[in-house]
Amino acid sequence: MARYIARRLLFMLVVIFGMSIITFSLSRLVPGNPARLLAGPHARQEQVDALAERYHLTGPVLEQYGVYVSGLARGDLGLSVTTRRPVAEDLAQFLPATVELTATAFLITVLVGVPVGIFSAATRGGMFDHASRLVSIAGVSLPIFWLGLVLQVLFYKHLGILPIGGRLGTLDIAPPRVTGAYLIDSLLAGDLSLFWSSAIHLILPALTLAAGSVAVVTRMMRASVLETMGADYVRTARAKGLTEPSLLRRHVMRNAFIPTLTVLGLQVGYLLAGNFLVESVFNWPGIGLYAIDAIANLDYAAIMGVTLIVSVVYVAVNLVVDILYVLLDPRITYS
Amino acid sequence: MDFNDPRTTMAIDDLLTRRITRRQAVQGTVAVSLSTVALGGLTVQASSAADAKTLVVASGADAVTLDPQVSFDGQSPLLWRAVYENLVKYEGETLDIVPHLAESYEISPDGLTYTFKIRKGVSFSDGEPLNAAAVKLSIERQIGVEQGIAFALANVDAIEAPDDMTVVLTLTAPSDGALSAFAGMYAPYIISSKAIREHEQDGDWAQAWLRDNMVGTGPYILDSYSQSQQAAFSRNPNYWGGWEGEHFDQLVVSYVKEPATERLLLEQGEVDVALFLPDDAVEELDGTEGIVVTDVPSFNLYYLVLPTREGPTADKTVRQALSYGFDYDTWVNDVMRGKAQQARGPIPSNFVGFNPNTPQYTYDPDKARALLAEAGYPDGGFSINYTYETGYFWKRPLGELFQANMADLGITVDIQELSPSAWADLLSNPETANHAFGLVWWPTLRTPYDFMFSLFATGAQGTAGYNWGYYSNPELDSLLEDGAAEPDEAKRMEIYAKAQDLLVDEAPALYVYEKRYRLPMRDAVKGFVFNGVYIETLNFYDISKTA
Repeated sequence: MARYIARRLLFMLVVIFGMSIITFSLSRLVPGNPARLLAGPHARQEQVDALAERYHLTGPVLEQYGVYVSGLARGDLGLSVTTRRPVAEDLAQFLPATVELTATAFLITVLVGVPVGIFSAATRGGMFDHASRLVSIAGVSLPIFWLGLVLQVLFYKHLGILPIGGRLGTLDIAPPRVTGAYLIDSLLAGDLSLFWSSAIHLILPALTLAAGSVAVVTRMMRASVLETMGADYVRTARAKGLTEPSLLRRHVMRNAFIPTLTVLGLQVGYLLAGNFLVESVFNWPGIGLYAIDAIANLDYAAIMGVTLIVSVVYVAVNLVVDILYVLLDPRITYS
Repeated sequence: MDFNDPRTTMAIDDLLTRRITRRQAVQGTVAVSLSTVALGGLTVQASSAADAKTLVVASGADAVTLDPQVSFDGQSPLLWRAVYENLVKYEGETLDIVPHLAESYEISPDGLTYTFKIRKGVSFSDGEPLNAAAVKLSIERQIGVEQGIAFALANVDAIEAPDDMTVVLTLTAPSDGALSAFAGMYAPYIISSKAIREHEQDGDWAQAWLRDNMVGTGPYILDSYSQSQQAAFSRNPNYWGGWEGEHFDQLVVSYVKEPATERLLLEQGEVDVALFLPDDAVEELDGTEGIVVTDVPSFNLYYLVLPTREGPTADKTVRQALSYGFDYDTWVNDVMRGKAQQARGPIPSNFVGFNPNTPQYTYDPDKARALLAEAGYPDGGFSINYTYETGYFWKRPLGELFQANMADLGITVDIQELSPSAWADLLSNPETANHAFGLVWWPTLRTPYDFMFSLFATGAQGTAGYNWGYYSNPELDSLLEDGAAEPDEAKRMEIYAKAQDLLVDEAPALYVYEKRYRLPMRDAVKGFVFNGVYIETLNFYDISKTA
């Protein structure tokens, strides 16, 4: 098992390396000279050149890549053209917000999707099942952007019960930073009103982000529960007199959960991507918002930084999923 | 739900007949009351408008840096102007330059020596006193960082402090915009000398530190700042201007990326002013209850610049034909819905040095065709590339109207959208730039030279300016240089008037329109005064809010 993990970690490095090459080349292929934009209209050519030097925008592409990779090893992700700060500093500022949002959406996905899926399967053909199917289709089909805007209009403008965006109210001051997640930090600081403020600000963005995810997980869970319920050993257990709830709990859940686990792992990727849109609509200052501005400014270093982070998280999550398999299904072993 | 399944009926019976224990009843009541209180709390939270002593501003554009000397971007000055001040400033909505941090100033008759007497009794928010040494350091820093307005200080030969409260600048050559380099939105703002000295790192003039920190003489102090979120300021109790009368105690400037969100925030009263909203959102807000949209003249001029180095548009006659071929009235009345007026030449009509007698093209397709025939293109028969950047709301309709008008003359216009960075890159490179493009310009310096040089001078081509039509005319260049160096005001304006006539005749661009500045804000906000040079910023100290 340990060897398996070690191998997977090594593979993770390969994936990240590959990602970095692809992103690096693609961003360099797009026409545009960020140094020029940075220098401003009145800069002399020497000033533009000096800036290009400073941000490592000159020289053969291979050389630029080499400089970048050697910087990575030191934790130096380059300088951002958008914020004019080291990218590592920017990411450290913006990442916790995205993690908080994604984690909440993921929690919603699991806590809503799984039980709803199971219950739909258990009451198959009934009202609940039909209703959950409708809602799932809606959740998957509705564009995130549109859903976010509609929720804003409904809950902020018309009902006035939820805020329109941001992580805190306009006049709130952020809690002292421990993790960067305001929910946790405000509790640690003992500030309940701040905790409350960050919680209600989290509701709409997390719901919007989770919508599509919940839908997928519900359907997946339902399908795999139904499949498992049709298995011979389940029929045997029922014949032996086991009650439905007991049956579900002891025999079906664990086995039905495995395919859903795979889907959950993939959903993290979907959630990370969805962040870009949700953060834009709800003005959530995470790496999604940062990336959108970076892309408009052709801020190579920032784009690379965000891509790398997303790749690392995605690969790591899927590694965790694979390890969980072993815990859930004794038939699976890794050598 | 399978009603034939006995387990189902059992489940329903169970639900209906469950006796509720006292404990459960209590729990239920508590839960209900908690959630009511919570919802009540939510409601209060959601519609939180700040009190009358706090100004909340939403900006659709993110500030780039808090350092007021290193950037030419249009978003950051809003924040700079809360904390930093200059030696001189523009009075109210006019172009008159009046003393500010300088108590008085004097310019020698030959235009080579500028003497500033520094105001007494002023200190920076870190306690450092404002004196000649501090001013000298700030100006040296501006020149040293080689960014922002440094280009306008290229003539500065020496900066001296003959006594504690006097600064003398000596120029190598007179320049009519020189004083305004100290008054404008981009200027050598006076930064605390202590801060510059203490946070200097590897000869960077403290740029790394001043990117995120501000120490000035202004009415407000920076409390907190997070990139792409918000900046919060509070009163500087020692501000030399004093605090008599109505002023805000606190300012909050939030970056709101989505126009739809920003608009909703203003409508709900959660922000007091909404900056950088697109035109159509502003127009829709006009007339909404509780909101007022200021409507004042600006110094913006909007051009359709033509490529002049190669192709048919290298020929002046062809360019004149195109100038007659554009439907200005449709643009002003239909596209801009009357909120604009056709420009007359390259300078805005309310700006210093405007020549009211400069000729103006009118929409005359027959004349256009005649001129085209004269130039050898009787039925058009050529094409022009037009390019614009994503996010500039007026540039696409401009291109489309141009395209339609040119089609009538037999000329094809190909429209291309690019990202801002790609657009700038394409046009600032003479090898790739062969495009017409829309451009808006507003003055950095108080001189017509600013408009005409930056857009049409040979020295402003490529990466050195905005002359991306690559127009080059030695006659224009020398007129501009003569004008800038001419110490006599009347003679100078005559020269500039000639330059405007020349530029209209040569038509390197279509001088399309001037626009009024329209900023939406809550009607409780009072005291906002717009100055075209300080566009997209607010005069924080003078504004207040009725409760």
